[in-house]
Amino acid sequence: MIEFFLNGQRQRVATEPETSVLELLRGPLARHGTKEGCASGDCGACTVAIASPEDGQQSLTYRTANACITPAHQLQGAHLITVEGLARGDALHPAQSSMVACHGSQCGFCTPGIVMSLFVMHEQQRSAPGMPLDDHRLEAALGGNLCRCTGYRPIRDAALSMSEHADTRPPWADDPTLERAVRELSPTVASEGQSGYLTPTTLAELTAAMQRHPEARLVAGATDLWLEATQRLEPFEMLIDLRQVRELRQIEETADGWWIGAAVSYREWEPLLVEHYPAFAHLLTRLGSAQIRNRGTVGGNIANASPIGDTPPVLLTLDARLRLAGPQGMRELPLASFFLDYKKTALEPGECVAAIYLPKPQANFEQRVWKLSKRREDDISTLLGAFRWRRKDGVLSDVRVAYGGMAAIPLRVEAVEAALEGRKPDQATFRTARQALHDSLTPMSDARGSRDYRLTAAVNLLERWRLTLVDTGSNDPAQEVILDAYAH
Amino acid sequence: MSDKQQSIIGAGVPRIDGPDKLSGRANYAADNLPPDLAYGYGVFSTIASGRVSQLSVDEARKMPGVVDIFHHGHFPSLYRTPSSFAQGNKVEETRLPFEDERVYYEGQFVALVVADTFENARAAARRVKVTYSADQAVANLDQGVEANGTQAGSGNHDRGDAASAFDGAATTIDVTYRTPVETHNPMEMHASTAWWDNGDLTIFDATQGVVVARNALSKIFAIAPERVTVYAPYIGSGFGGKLWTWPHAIAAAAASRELERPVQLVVPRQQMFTTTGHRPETRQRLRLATDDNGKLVSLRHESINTTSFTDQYVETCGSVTKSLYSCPNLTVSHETTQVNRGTPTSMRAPGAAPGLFALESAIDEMAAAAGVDPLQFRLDNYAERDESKDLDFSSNHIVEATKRAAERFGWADRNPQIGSMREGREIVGYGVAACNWEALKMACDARVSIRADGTAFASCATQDIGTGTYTIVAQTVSDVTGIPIDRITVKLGDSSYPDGPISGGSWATATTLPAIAGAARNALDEMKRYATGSNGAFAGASSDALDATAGGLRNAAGKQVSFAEILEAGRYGSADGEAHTEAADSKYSYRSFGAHFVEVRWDPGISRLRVARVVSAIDVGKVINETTARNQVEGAVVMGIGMGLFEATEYDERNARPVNNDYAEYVVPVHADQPEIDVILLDYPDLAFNEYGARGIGEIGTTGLAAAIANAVHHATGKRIRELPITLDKLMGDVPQARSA
Repeated sequence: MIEFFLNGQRQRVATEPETSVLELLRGPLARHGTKEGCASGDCGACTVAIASPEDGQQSLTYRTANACITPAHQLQGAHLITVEGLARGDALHPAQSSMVACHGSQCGFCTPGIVMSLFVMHEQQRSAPGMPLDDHRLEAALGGNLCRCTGYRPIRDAALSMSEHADTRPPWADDPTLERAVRELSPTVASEGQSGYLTPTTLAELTAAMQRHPEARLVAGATDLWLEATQRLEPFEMLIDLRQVRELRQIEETADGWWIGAAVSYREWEPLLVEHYPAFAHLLTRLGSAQIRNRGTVGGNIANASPIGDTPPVLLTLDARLRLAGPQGMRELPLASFFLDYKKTALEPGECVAAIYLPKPQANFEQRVWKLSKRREDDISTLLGAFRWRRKDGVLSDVRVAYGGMAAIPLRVEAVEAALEGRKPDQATFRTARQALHDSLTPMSDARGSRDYRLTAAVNLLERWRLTLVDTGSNDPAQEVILDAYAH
Repeated sequence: MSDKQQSIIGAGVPRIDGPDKLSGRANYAADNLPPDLAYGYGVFSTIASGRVSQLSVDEARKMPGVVDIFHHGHFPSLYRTPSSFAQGNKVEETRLPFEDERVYYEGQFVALVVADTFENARAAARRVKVTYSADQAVANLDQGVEANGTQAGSGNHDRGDAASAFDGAATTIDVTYRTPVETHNPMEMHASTAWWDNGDLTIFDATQGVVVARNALSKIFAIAPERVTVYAPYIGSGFGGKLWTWPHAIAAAAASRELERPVQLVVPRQQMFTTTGHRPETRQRLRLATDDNGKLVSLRHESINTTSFTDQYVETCGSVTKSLYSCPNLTVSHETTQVNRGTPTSMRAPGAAPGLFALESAIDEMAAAAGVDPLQFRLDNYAERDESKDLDFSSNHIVEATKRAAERFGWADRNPQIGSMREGREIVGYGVAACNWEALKMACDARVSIRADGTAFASCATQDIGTGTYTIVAQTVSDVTGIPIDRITVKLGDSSYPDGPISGGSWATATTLPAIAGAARNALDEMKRYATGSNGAFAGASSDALDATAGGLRNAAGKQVSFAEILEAGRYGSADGEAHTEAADSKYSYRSFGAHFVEVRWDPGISRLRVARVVSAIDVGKVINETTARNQVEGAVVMGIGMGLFEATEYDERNARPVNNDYAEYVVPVHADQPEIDVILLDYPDLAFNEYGARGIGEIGTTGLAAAIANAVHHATGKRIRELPITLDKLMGDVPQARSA
């Protein structure tokens, strides 16, 4: 049994381990406003807003999520808002009235999801009215909502004109007791034994649970795991949820860096990265969609060891380390030692990724990250190149080069690093480095890109990096184009 | 029509279905949950060619909640529909589900699990054990031609002697273009919720045609059409994919009849690529020739498209080629080749979308070979009458459309040298292409009632797939009766209403509006009879002396009586009218015209290409609703960008299995891909076509757009991309050297 609030109403329902929020809504709760468009978190038609008190915010903060890949049991103790929960009778919420006025809805099937993304944007505007609604914010907020009819312009117009519409508040917003009632719900599920999912709250409980249930799958954001249920139809015998494990949700600052809990979401990483690693922060805006970034975790991105995960190559160049928790306690290892082979990691049975160590940037630190994908937003990497170095007197040191999408695992290319270490970034040096890269990698062809495309683009990213390092003094316009275009 | 009433036709009236859609109240096919509903989940073939050698349901049958599992050894015997467009009972895939153990494509239904909940059905589907005996699959067009050759298609045309004229011409080109499989991917997945009651079938279906679905299902279940009711009040669009009934709907209805309880079946997104149609792969050879004056003297457009092993679908790539340009010697031919994919179907602007990519790219190549500006070449060669039908066009403003768009776009600033236009740090390319679509109008029935409470009710068994049909029907009723929009109820998407058209071919507006207007006028005549009858408010007056305005009738002296009062006086509940309107005549060639101008920006460093700006001028006759019409073109342009840059369903050439059949890997445009789009609607009523002069606007915007992009890409990069989509790897290579003009 899970307990949560739906559009201000308390709910108590039983769910199976593989039940998603969408299935719960459309099945037992008979709320059909939320639509299924893909069941894989790619289209945003099922977008809902969720406020979870454990987010640690002062007041309840609503975030978008793809209901189709959000586990129903993660609603425990949360307030879920769906498209049915915004209007007061016939008086529409600005997220809705602006869409009517701007013709933002044609067939109407993506519409409920878009309304929820707009609702969250509107809530953010209410709490921080000074923040401008620029293209970047719009794309970040709406990038995960596909529409096949309108061509998007009317939706954009609706987003920009929400403030011109009557600020009708949802009925539940009037209820002064609601927030307290939500906070009073337990963050963990009662009588879990029979439910098929466990929500440990400490690392000790977590490792004990993993020992008791070696068959269990670990879940945090579920943005990858849930595809096994909806696409591969794999049942989950037992799930262990990491989101309530205190140690996994912490960010602990040390003298030289930060230990960041494995269940900290992309969105929660963002403030740290914006301040210290802006190129990495920028990459996050191109990782999945807002719905994915709100739920998904860097820990998951590492632990599932996909060769095209976006964060591992960057973390490899930053000399990130991992803490692995297991029955024997904690051990540490460099991230570079974690990836063994395709989807194979250094995790022993009973172990999980507990935290990621992000070192603080050193003096003269520089970084570049380039993600190449077919589509700019909401797309999987074809390849990703990450570069980190320091420069003193024109000489490169501490060079790190890593790629995703070029091998069975995210990979540091030490031959390239060696070719550049201690040298000036001149053409000859980079020619050697490019050759070293060419010789080191044998990517494969797939629907995202051919082997040749990957290899050529990967080598060209090195040249692009070089061009950012040198002032050639050339007026060649082609060079100028290459120099400054498209940092993400 | 009074001046005041006229203003509602053409006005940007907000959609009347907006509030329902915005608040989650609009019910789509899978949102209907009748009592005792059981849920289906498909088991789909994992090979593309061969047969099911063994199918075991023992384990699945024991799973919780399972009601039954259907497959070729356990399924009721059904009947085939003639699949006739003329008879209104067309289906695209004529093979009945579970008809035999044969497998013709990957993702074909091989079993259907029905259980008490969706999750239980899904969980059990995984436990159905299927073993196959696989044959070597035919995976793509080239393999099909190689293995099986081609079959003659339809829609061919010949005039003059294209071969001889080509051989004797001053300048010639001979080029081949290719387009990949595209998949409709409407946001709503196909879904059917079916139940039976005393031998009558009711089905909520995601369909673009409730009448055709009713007729086809009545044939398949061998019952009278009036015993089948198909509902589709809201459809999450279709783009052609939902025109005809697909196997899942038949399977849901059959399972429901067997189990004597309602069954719902939703097609998962992955199988939206396999078992519900797609735009087929094409290979198109274009041979063009001009004389010394840059006039076309020979044009041959020969296409082959892929079709399935069960049905022939012809993608009429040369449909526009027959009449767009003036050319005395012209050949259009269509052939098909069989591959192991599901049966293709119409996708937004079938024939014209891939066909105009090839033709309008070739016209650019021809213009370059002849040394003429591509815009001027088009203006010099546009046809003034339809030479394929030997008929005048009813209304054709393509020259004005092209010139107005060119001016708005700034074509005059185009430096014709390849790679010569650099703005800031990017290389800019300008491209142009014509767009074109046949205007069609079908027979239609409609009913309108003016009711005692002063409201009106209009009904027609057509659908609103998102284009705004609800709204323009209300506008039309308001236009005729003077009743305000907010007092008009429009009911569509129910096959028991008077027969209306499918929502496709861009003909729903042109077809439906005259019937609605006729029905509204007949209702008004009935109202006037009541009013002028012995006890009526205008007793003894001539009906002709009464005008409908502001929700009532008025005479020349200014006496106004409301409809409600007239009906009340006679104790009538309503004044009703029905109308039947006929399909278009063949006195003229009815077509819509236009031109796209596209600006691309290219970053040669990492081969990044973006469409930055589009100006489209479209001549579609009278525009009924400025806002919905404009947005049809905007949406079509963005879908054209998808076709040009992203969209392709890819198949493994070894086994014909689709490899990117989901929303993560089949890339469609997102918010960040929308360019600045400027739409010019010419708004010349085509009164030879229908009384409102409206020709329809859903498809034309998609035609020609990919060619305009390809032409702009050539201008920027010097690379002539003849195979869609224009992916980054096709553009890699040398950066063109900037040359001064």
